[in-house]
Amino acid sequence: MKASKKSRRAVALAAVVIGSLVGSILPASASNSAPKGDLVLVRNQDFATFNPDLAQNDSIFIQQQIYEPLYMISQDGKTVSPWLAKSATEASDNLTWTIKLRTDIKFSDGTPMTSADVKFSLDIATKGDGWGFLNSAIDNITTPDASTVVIKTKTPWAPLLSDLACFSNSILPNNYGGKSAADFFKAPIGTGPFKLDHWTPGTEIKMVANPNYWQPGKPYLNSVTWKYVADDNTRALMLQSGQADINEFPPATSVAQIKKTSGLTVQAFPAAASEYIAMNESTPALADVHVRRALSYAFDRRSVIKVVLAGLGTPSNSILAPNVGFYDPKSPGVQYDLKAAAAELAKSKFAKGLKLEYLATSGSVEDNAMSSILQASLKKIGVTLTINTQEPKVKRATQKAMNYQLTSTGWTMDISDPDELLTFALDPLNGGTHSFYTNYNNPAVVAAVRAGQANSDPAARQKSYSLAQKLVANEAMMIFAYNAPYIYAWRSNITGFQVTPTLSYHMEDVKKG
Amino acid sequence: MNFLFYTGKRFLQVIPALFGISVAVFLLVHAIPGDPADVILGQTSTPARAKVIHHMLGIDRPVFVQYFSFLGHLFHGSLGTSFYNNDSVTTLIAGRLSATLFLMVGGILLALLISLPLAILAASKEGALRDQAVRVVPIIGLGMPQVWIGIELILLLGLKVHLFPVSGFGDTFLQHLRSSFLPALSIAIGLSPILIRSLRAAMLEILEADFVLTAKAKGIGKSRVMISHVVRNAVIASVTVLGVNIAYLVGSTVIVERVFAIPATGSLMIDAISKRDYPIVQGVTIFFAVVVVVVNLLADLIHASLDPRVAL
Repeated sequence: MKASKKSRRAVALAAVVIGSLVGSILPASASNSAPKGDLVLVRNQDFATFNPDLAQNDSIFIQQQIYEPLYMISQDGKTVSPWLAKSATEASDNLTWTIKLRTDIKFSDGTPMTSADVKFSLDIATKGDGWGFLNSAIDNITTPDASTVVIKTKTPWAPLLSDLACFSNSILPNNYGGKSAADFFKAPIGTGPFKLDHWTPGTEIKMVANPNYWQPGKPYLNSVTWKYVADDNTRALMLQSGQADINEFPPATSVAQIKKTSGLTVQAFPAAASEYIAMNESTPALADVHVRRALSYAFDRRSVIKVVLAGLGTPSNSILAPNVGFYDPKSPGVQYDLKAAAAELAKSKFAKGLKLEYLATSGSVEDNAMSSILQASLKKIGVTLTINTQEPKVKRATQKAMNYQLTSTGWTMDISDPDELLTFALDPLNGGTHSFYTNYNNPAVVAAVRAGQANSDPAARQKSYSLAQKLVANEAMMIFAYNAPYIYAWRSNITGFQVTPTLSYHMEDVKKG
Repeated sequence: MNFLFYTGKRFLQVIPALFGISVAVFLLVHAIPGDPADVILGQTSTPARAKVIHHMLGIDRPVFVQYFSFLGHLFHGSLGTSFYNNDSVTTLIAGRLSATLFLMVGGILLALLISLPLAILAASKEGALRDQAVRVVPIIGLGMPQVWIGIELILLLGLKVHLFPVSGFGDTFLQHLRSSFLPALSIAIGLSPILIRSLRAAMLEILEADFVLTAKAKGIGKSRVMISHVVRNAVIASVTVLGVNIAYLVGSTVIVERVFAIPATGSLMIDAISKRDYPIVQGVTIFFAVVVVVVNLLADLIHASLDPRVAL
């Protein structure tokens, strides 16, 4: 049967009307899905690896554009929400977690993501030599169906979802998509908004939009290129000249200048990171709580922040940074007070004065300011501080060998939950580092940290972690120095660039206008 | 026959030299304090986790076992693989060589272009105002840090005039040429003072030589004497000065590589040292040692072929 000319016209008209109706109903982003704009980000670190198990800050933020985890850290850094997962349920035994997966996720090669990929990824992450310790509570993983994963833990483990949100638990294709691990990490694929275009070690890494990305209309950008430019001045000039769109970590002292430059935007994002001065309790004077409190009182945090961060920072009052889950604003961290410092020293066995050594990082502006400001304050209360400097890696080795008295140290959160840091820093047995290489050991603190780990009730966890924060602050386990923000500068035609306190970039939300 | 014997002897001398260099490099690299595992594990490094990484990297084995393993790879033409991304060190060095060559050759050529006219200007009338002026230039040049020169060049010719890119090396030959001009100029400005001084001194000395006086007595024009006799001979003398300053040149390239974000061998080496990436540090050092030894050997052989007395 042949359709008449009239009826064909009617069908065509109906198709146009329906098409335009569908177009108007769908989100704008979905109808305007062609990514556009090539973004260049300059940074002072060279990308090292696509293997999540061996990734550090030089590689993590870049990997996260290609791989994604089941859960995602929130913008305030304190909680996590489902990402590749739909939901998670904890059974009444507190040992069994049933995770439902989204069914619309594809890897960048078009292969759908299933529970087999998740099991494979979490299994290799757990066995990993680098970050496997985060999954130490996992006993086994099963996959009842293609969209369900069941995780059994050895003990009740409240931080599980936070751990699953860590980059080290990124979801890779089952069995590396049929490749060897080495081959896969040279040409990786993931479910992230971008896929690898090329990687030239020492120079740049370029990614292009993943056409199979599960968030409709995203990413907005056509490509992102991460360039390694070691010199601070060169990065600033590249941004100014338009050779770069975003400058990662310009020095805080350059912020005022950037603000004055037209066409550039600068922002300090809150960081879940803390700077400390560690005190080695193997040194008799530093085993004395009054000496530690005296040193902590004598540290002029605001002066250091003014010198090093051009005022862009806050004095610490807790071992946890304010953007970490279960941070307690009431933590009684000692603040600068020279009279109180002298009074504490008078209570110690070293009331007549003492000599101490500070191990600083050579070439570090921050450490230079911290040590010399502390030295000047301590002189006023009768403590002579000698400053020795060492190259960063040598200093780290000296700290690990515990051949120091005072030294700068720091921590950037990898997960939203305080468990990773508090175990590392306060639990000498499970942390494996003599409490951040200080030899601090308080059984009450260890008990509080372990209680927080095992209890799923947020109120009970807060109680445990508040107690731990209070005890270590009162005992001045370390000098809690300051919390510095993450600073970024970008050209004003870039929009949507946000950084979480654990340093995740959602480049899928960034636009170049 | 004598030449063949000499060639053979020099080849045999190269073997213990390279062996000695490989031992020295290996021991020095392993003697530097600092743990590669700390770079891999970052802030979460613990002694127990570091031990596992040491095993993975093979650096928990006795040093002599590691050395023979390194030597075994070397005999098979491999310089090993990077600790951090499993890249072959040979490939990494090969990828950076063209940038190094552009910087070094460009730096030398521009240094000669700057130095020659200035030295001729100074030497043509010793003690005159222009001579005094040119003699001051080296002192100012020596006093300017390479980083500062680089930044100033970027500000002027990259940012204000837009003649050259602010940084990077580009993808094509022409882009390499354009991108490496400013860094090469920075190197040249640092190198020129030494060249100007040596060229000027050599020219003044040659101007007094008998053959120059003879040429002048014959009535040959002043400029022809300068170009054909004085400059030619002075340049030969200055090539030795340039050779001696090769180490300075390599040092300069490291700084300009950083300022101009040029991925050459200097930055590969510096990054590897700071990350304690032993295979790369060993590889780059061995590579340059071999280059120096081979160039010396070739120079000796050419010298011997031209001057039979050398082989005796």
